Amino acid sequence: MALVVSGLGYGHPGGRTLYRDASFRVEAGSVVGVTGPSGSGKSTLGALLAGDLRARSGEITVDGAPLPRRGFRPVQLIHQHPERAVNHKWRMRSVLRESHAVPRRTLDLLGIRSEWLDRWPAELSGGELQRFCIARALHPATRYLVADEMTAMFDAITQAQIWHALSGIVRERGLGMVVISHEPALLDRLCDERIAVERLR
Amino acid sequence: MNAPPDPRLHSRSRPRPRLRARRDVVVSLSVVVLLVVCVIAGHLLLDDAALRPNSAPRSSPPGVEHPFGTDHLGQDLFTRVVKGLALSLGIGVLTAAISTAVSAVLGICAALLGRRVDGVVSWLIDLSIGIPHLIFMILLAFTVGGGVPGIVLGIALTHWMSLALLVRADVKQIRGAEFILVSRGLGRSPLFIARRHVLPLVLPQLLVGFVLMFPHVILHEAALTFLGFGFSPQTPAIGILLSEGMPHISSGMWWLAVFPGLALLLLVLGFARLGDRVRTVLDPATSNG
Repeated sequence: MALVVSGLGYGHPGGRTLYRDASFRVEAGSVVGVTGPSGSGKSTLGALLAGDLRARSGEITVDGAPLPRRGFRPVQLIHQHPERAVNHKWRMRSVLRESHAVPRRTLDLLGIRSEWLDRWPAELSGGELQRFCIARALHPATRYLVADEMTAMFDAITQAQIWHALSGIVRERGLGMVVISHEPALLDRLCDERIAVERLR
Repeated sequence: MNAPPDPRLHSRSRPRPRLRARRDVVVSLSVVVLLVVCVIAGHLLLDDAALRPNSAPRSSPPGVEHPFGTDHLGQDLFTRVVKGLALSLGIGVLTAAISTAVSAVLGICAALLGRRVDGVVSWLIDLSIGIPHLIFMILLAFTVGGGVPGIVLGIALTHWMSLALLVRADVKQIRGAEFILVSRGLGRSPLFIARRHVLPLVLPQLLVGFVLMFPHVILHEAALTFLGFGFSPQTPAIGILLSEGMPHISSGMWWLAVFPGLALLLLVLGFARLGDRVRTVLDPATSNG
């Protein structure tokens, strides 16, 4: 049971090649950190894992099966900017319901208050919105999470709260997680293993 | 020492453009609503008897009994104008709705359903723009057989292109948004994304398109009818009134052409101004008002 990347190749259309033959695996239940300087292709890797971008060569398999082209994707990406990942014309209740009926307990663990459900995205702070994005990604069918600079925008206390809640849930469900960040301290605390993007070239 | 405040900085005499636009919307909306209510009320209250040949004085100039005068059959021109405007309004709503719907569906599909669909829609747009639209419209109306369906389809199917292009461009910007990627990752279908994510975001654009389409439809309906491809001559349509009244303008019976013309002008200008102002309020970036 693992998210396996083998022989991955990708370059932006008309741009330089980012990956030629990248291979690594993320075991279910483990946390893998991805580091690298700005512009080195960390977010692109996240988008490839989540299926938002298509690899030029190589393949990505989830627990033995290739990434599905249609329908629900078992690898869910959590973006850096929650305000862009939420349609501003939707109330928060609908934002959650687009994924699934999120159980009360998950909301409590993530610190989402019930009165926030009836608000518009503009009426919540970035940290509050990001909790919704996390809850949304925790679909029952989700097997792996990719957190792309998920808390880079927040203050230390919010960061700590969000990571504390999320790692608890991830451990409990036995999910695998890829943490993309350029904060060594954060990765030291969270990850079982670390990959430098440069090494994947 | 404190200098006295510059009065120009605090003057309320020149409101900011957007505020002024909001006020203009209210004004032009009230004019249009008043006009529409009058026309509908008139249509319901006025008696059809005045449209049949009757004992009323023939070709009498405007007066107390017949505010817009009568024609050579003794028909009351005021009644005919009101009935004509009511018909124009109905046609306007129907046609603008159809053409806006066509623009929305084709524009959204072109931008969301991949390169092949986009190619087909773009080709269709180029083709439709390429044909001179008055000729295209006459052909369509003629093929359907004139009357209400001919006019509605003829105008609706020749006027969806520019709005479709606008919608397509808008959706192309929206489709890369992160919340749409998320939605796709959650297994949502293109139809769901179009309906729930994209449509609410292009709705203002569609609303403006609908209102701006309206005066166009009314003018074209009058033009088609005037040229003889629209309504049959006994229908009290504005175009019929105008084409009947035109020959009499030089023979002294000016009221037969002037009153229908003025009524048409008022309705069209009202809607055109309303659409323009609504765009300024909803979408200040693309309007230059």
